[in-house]
This record gives sequence, structure tokens and C-alpha cells, in this order.
Amino acid sequence: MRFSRSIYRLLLRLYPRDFREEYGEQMLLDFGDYAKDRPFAAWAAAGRDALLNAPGEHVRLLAQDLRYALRTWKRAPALPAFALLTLMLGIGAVTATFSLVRGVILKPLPYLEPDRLVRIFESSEKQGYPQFSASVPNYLSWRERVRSLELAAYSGMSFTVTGEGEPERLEALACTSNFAPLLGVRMTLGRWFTELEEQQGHHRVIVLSDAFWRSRFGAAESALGRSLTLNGSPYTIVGVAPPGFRFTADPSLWTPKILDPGENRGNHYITVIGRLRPGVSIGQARAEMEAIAFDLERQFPESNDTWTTRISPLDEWMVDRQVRSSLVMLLGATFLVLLIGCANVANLLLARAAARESEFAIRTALGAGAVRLARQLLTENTLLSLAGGLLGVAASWWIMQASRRWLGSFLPRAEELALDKTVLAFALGVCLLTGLAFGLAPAWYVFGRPLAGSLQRSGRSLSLASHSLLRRGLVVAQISLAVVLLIGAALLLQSLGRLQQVPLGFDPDNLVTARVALPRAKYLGPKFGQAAAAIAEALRSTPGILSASAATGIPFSPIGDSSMSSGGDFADTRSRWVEPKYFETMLIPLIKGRHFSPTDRPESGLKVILSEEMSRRLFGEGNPVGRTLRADAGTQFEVAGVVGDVRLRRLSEPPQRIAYFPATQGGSWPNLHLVVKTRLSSTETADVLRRRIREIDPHLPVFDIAAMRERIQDSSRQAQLQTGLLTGFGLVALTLGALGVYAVVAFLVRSRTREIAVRQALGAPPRRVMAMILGEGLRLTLFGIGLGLAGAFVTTRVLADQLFGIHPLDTATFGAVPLVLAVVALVACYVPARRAAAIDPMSALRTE
Amino acid sequence: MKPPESFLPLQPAVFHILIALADSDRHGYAIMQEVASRTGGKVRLSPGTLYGSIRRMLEDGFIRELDHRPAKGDDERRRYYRITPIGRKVAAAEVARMSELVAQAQALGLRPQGA
Repeated sequence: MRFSRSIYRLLLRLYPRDFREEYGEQMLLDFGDYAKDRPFAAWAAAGRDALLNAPGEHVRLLAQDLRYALRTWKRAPALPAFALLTLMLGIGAVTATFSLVRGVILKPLPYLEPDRLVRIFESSEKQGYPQFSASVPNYLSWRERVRSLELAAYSGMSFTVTGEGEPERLEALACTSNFAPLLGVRMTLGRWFTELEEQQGHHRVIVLSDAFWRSRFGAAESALGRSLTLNGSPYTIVGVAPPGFRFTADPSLWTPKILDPGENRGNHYITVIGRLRPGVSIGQARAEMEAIAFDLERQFPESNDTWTTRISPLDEWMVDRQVRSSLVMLLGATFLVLLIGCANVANLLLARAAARESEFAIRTALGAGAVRLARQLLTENTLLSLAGGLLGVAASWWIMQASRRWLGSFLPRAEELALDKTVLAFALGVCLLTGLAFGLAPAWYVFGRPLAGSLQRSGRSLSLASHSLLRRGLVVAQISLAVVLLIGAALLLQSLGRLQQVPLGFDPDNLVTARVALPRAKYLGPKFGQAAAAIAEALRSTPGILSASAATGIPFSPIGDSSMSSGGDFADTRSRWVEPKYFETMLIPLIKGRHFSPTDRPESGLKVILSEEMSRRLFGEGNPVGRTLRADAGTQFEVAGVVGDVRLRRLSEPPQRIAYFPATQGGSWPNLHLVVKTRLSSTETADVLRRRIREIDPHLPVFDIAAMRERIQDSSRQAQLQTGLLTGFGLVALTLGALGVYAVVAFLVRSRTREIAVRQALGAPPRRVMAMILGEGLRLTLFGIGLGLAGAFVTTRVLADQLFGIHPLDTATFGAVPLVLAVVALVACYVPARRAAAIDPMSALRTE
Repeated sequence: MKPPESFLPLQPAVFHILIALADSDRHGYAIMQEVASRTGGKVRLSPGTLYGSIRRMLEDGFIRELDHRPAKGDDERRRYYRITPIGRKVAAAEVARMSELVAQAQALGLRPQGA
């Protein structure tokens, strides 16, 4: 009997404490009698009670607390409103950033067993290409020999669609027939390519991307089997790819890659991916590929000298290190903001708890224990954090919807962003932790409070000292976190500023660029140069256009920029064919020799103009003009001049070697970039471009029209986003920190009114009182700044690889930020300090 | 004071407890036994249900706890409960509500089997 009573006593612990204290004894007595009469029924009832009635009592208590909280808030809505706003910002920012981190970094790639997928690079550290594309013959040699990997490859290309309506330019990926099967991607409709279709003559088949299928065919299944005229030839549609299948390029079409073993082995332009065979580690695959590359290097020294291979996991390649570290840094920053917000809310709640002391005392007198009061506070705070979290998640969802497209323009995998279950679970976890973080402080305060005596005290309580210590600690924490954020933001801002001052090597003002597709079949050999000349000439003669030219590759335009001739003196050099007026239009300075002239014909000896970097590499400080350079095929070029270096892709990258060839001497490229120096607006320029080119050949599509300034901006968008966000966070942190200092100092003034009044009555001048209060605030601030500097010293290292031209421990920044913070904090202290100085001793003491 | 009708319908456990207390003050286990015997053992309140209901009925003022102990010789820790005038009014209102319901059902020909 005693044993079963002990068990029942244990079961009683499932009830809320106050219910147990009230009725536990009665229930135990009744259970004892019941168990004597009908033991079986008594135990069944006890079990049912434990499962249903005990949780029910908890729910009732929760509902009671919630009603109570809502009533309290309705009476004084300012605090909960401010807390909600802070939490919404904090949780919203953390959730949005986490969804970025998850979508871009954490979520596995949407392919079959993505952790077995790798990217294979050709690599030559000696020539400055640690990770480079592969050549078709090397790919074929690898495929033949490698055992540890299955390989697939693709290269980018573009098509001009003609037939119905305006000619349209489409980006496509030419892939080996095992490309989609290797990734484990199934077509939504139809099929992928067969091996036979990799052969010349069978290759005119295409798979449509989901987006193109929808826009061009309205998602009609009847698109299958139809044909599209691409570059003048009919291609049959055999399949439609699933929506998520875009790889890094987001192509409109997929088509088979014809692998010609006769291509130049030194022409690196295809992307090779692979799947590790079962049981093979990436290390084993690396070793095998390097051995194969070593054999090939000996077998083909003229093309493969110094080239080996490098393998990295596919996801690491798709999202590079800089993006990763930048996102993780942002997530860390949002957490700091949330922490600061929590400290702020905790501080407010503490102040409020102090104000509610008499309410608590009354409730204690009515029999509520400390546990009950702490439970009430925790309920209030959790409700607050959950409501804040709900608003925050809504805000982050809205932010994501609004920014997805924009993010997609520079962030890989942005299209995969979603508020999925993981993100929501994360947000919920953050809310609950947040509720605990800022809710524990006041709950702890309730426990630390002397339970008796609060009712009869005269406005001053014994717990005030420990209470204000806690609040001061929170303010110090806030200020130190704000210092860390502000120093990070200041470093990034300066880095961005320095990036904008990098000399471009050309003048981007009033420069509009566009692309024209010249089909190879129609514009072969000299015809390409003639067409380029005709287009440039037509543009130059247009009113409003100051200068115009054309080239096969231009700065800050990714397409055509990877063209690289290999071997001879042109190893690892970017080469491009340019129209005579190119350098004048771009305002690239001529340093030695002369510009190209229309008289540079194929029969007058091949000419080349070198970039400074290339001249320095080949001839040191010597004068290269008139010297002869050899390409790998034995062709010779005479150096006509040297021009200044230009930045090609990113402002932070050093200039590369460039060789410019005159378009008048041949070269045939599917892409032609136009550069136009104009007095017209960009829309007017776009109209003029389209009109003039239609006059020359109505089948030529003009596309990708953009001002050069925009292109340069685009190249640093990631840095801008990061800097902008961190600056915003820094300012929020600064504001919250200042509010925190203000609130605490104001509280100090209020709680020390009596002391101040006595001092003043004893003859202390108001100035001294003010100095005392300001000193109090300043002490807290300086303490926070000291801690913050130590924190920044450790954390700014994370930024190191994202900073350009500024050291992560930049002395000026580490000096200026604390100064700014100290000034802001002083201003925040000034208001309560003045109030303290204005205290009238007589009336203050009388109200005591 | 809220009108008795505003508490209706009563939860079955509450109604049973009111009936059990109608003729005599009882402690918890006595209420459980009374309800069981009145219903021929069909309704057996568990301690959890009993005291959950008692707490609510005390809050609503249907019953009150006695300061003195009417029975002699039982456990001194036992608490006794008595129905209040409000409790009686509420119970009566519930009875009226139910009779009306029963009358309506019978008028429509709904009767217990064999009646």
C-alpha cells in the first residue's frame, strides 16, 4: 500500500505545482480509499488522470497567464510594441540570412548523390591558372584511361533562333550524352540525348529548359518532336528539362556536344564534371587523375607542359569560398544584432519587472510562489518572442520574395531559396532561445527578490543593487557587440570605397556596350572583320554617337572573355580581335608604338598590340614595338604597339595579359561586342543600335545592351550587398546600444533621486551632479568599448579575404569607431543627466 | 452575479458533483462513492477529474469548503464541501434545461426502449 502511494505521489508531480499543493493530499487520500475498494479501477483512473487531467491543468494555467499578459500589455502597450519591433527585426534578419546560408551552402545540390559529384579542372600553377577548363582531346584521353570516375563535359554556346518573329538569341549548353544521367536528372517530358547524337550529322536535337518551354510553347506537350531553326539549321525538340535543372549557366537549350579528337589540345574551354565510382574516395580519384595528367604531359609536352589536374567537390565549385565566408559572416552579424536586441528587450523587461514589484508582492501575499511568478513572466516573454518571430518570419519571407531575382544576378543557387521546414524549425528554435535569453533575466530577478518586505518598502528595494548590476552588464554587452559590428561595417565600407577607386584602365563614362551574333557560316574569315567594320562605321556616322567600335571581348562582360590562345608567345594570354577605333572609344591609353589602322590587311603582315602586363612579361622594360611574336601554329605577329592594362572581371583582380589583334586581319567569332561612346541616353542608344544593325543585316540579333557603368557595378554587387547589410546592422546596433545606455542611466537617475537631492541640499552644484551621472554612463560605455575592441580584434580576421586594400586590424578604424560610440553614448546620457541636475531637492525629499 | 443559465450546459462531472452534494456535505472520496452508487457504477470520477472540477466549482462559487468537519472519527486531513445557493440555482437550471430537452424529444416520439 505504501508502495502504490509513493507511485501515486510521483504521478501527482505531473500537475502544476499550485494545483498539487492545493489538492495533492486530498487526491492521495481518495486514491488510497479507492485502491482499497477497487484496486484495478483506481489505477486505471490514475493513468487516465496523468495523461489527460494533468496536462489539462497546465493548459489552463497557460491560458490564464496568456490572458493576464494580454491584459497587462493592453494597459501599457509601448513596451511590448517596442519589444515586438526589435524581435521582428532581429529574428527576421536571422531567418532571412539563414535561409540564404541554407539555400546556397547547406542544402545539398539537387542531384542524385550530390556528395559523389566533382568538378575536374586542368591546372597550371606555373602559368597562373590554378583552376582552368579542359581541352577536348585531354578530356577524351582522361575518359579513356580513368577508372575511379565517370566523366561528363559541357561547353557554353549560343544560338540565334529565326523563323517566327524577331530573331532571338539563346544561351545553350552543349553536353555529352551522359551529362544528365550522370547527375541523375530525369526529363519532365521526352528524353535526353543518346550517344549516337554526339556524332556529327545526328547532333541536331535539343532539350528545352523548363522556362523556355513555358515562354515559347506555353508548356504545351506538343512541343515535343517539333523543330526550331537555330543558326539557320533545323533542330528537333526531343525533351524538356525539369525546372530546377539550370546548372550554373541557366541555359534555354541543351544540345549534344560533338567531341572532335582533332581539336587543339591546348584549347581549354570545356567544363568537366565527374561522379566518383562506388567505394572510391575523392583522394583516390585525385591521385589517379594526376597520374594520368603526368603521362599526358610527357606524351604531349608542347600543349600539356606544366598542366596537371585538380578535383574539387561540385558544390564547392558552384558556390565559391568567398560567397561562403561572406554568407557565414552575415549570419554571424545578424546573430549579433539579435543578441543586442535581446539585451535591449531584457533590459526593458527588467525595468518593467522592477515597476511591477508591488504587483508581484500582492500576488505573493495571495499565495503565488516564486515559481508561479517566474512561470508567468516566462509565458509573457515566450509569447512576446513567438509573436516577434512570427512577424520576423513574415518579414523575411517578404524580403526573400522581393530580392530573389536581384540576388540571383550575383549569387549562385539563389533560385533555390525557400522558407522550407528546416528554415522554419530554425526560426522557431531562435524564437524560443530568444524568449529564454531575454526572459530569464527578469525571471531570475523574481527569484533573487526578497519575497517579504516589498509591500512595506518605500519605493526602494533591497534587490535594487543586484538588479541594476544586471542591467549594467546588459548595456556593456550591447555596447561591446555594437563595437564589433560597427568595426566590421567600417572596414567593409572602406574596402568598397577603395575598390571603387581602382583605376579601370579605360573610361566607362557614357559608354554603352551591346552584343551582336554573327553566324559563323555567313561571316567566315575576312567577312567577320568586314561586318564588324561596317557596323562600327554605321554607328560612328550616327548623330549623337561620339565614337564606336567592336571587339570579340570587352571588360566586365563574361562572354568571349575566356577566349585564350595557347602555346608559343601567347600562352595564357587573353586574345581578342578589335576594330581600329577600339582603343580610342574605350580611352585605353597608347603607351608605345601605334594603334591599328584600316590599312592593316591580311597581306600586309599580321600585327598585334600588347597590354602593358603582357609586354612586361615578354620583354621586361624593353621596347617590344617591331619585335615578332610566334603563336603555337607557327604564325608570326609583329608588335605594333603597347596599350595600358585594363581590369577585366573584378575590380579586386590584378590586370591580366591581353593580346589585341586587328579585326581587319581575320579571326572569326560568333560573338561581337560593340562599344559606343554616346551623348544619348541608354534607351536612345539601344534604339539607334538596333536600327543601324537591322539596316546592315535584318537577321542579326542585338542583345545584352547595357551601360559599362552598370556592368562594373554588377561585378561588385556581392560586396555592395554585404557592406550595405553590415552597415545597416551596425547602425541598428548603435541605435539599440544608445537606447540601452539611455534607459539604464535614466533608471539610475530615477532610483537615486533621493541621494541626488541630498547632495544638492548639501550644496553640490548642478554641474557636479551632471558630471557624476555622465561619468556613470561613460564608465559603462568605456567598459563595453574595451570588451568590443577585444572582440573585434578576434572576429575581423573572418573578413580578411573579403577586404580590399585595408588591413582587418586597421588602426584608424579601431580608433574612430569607439570614439563615435563614446560620443553617441554621451549624448544618450546627457538627457537623464540634465534631468538629474534639475532635481529640486526640497520637493524631491518631500515626496520621499 | 452572473445568471445561473450562463453556466449551462454543465459538464457532466460538475452536474454529478452538484447532485451528490445536494442532500449532504461530503468529502472527495464520499462524492466519488455517491456518484458511483447513484449511477449503478456506470460513472466513476477519477481523483484528477474530481479535483479539477472542484477547483473550477470553487472559483465559480457553486460549492464551498467547510471550516468544520461534520463526521467524526474519519481522517482529519479530509476536506468537506457543501453546495452553495448559487450551486443549487445552477443545478436547478440545468435540470430545467434537460427536462425541456427530454420533453421535446418525447414529443417527437423519441423514447427509451420498452418505455
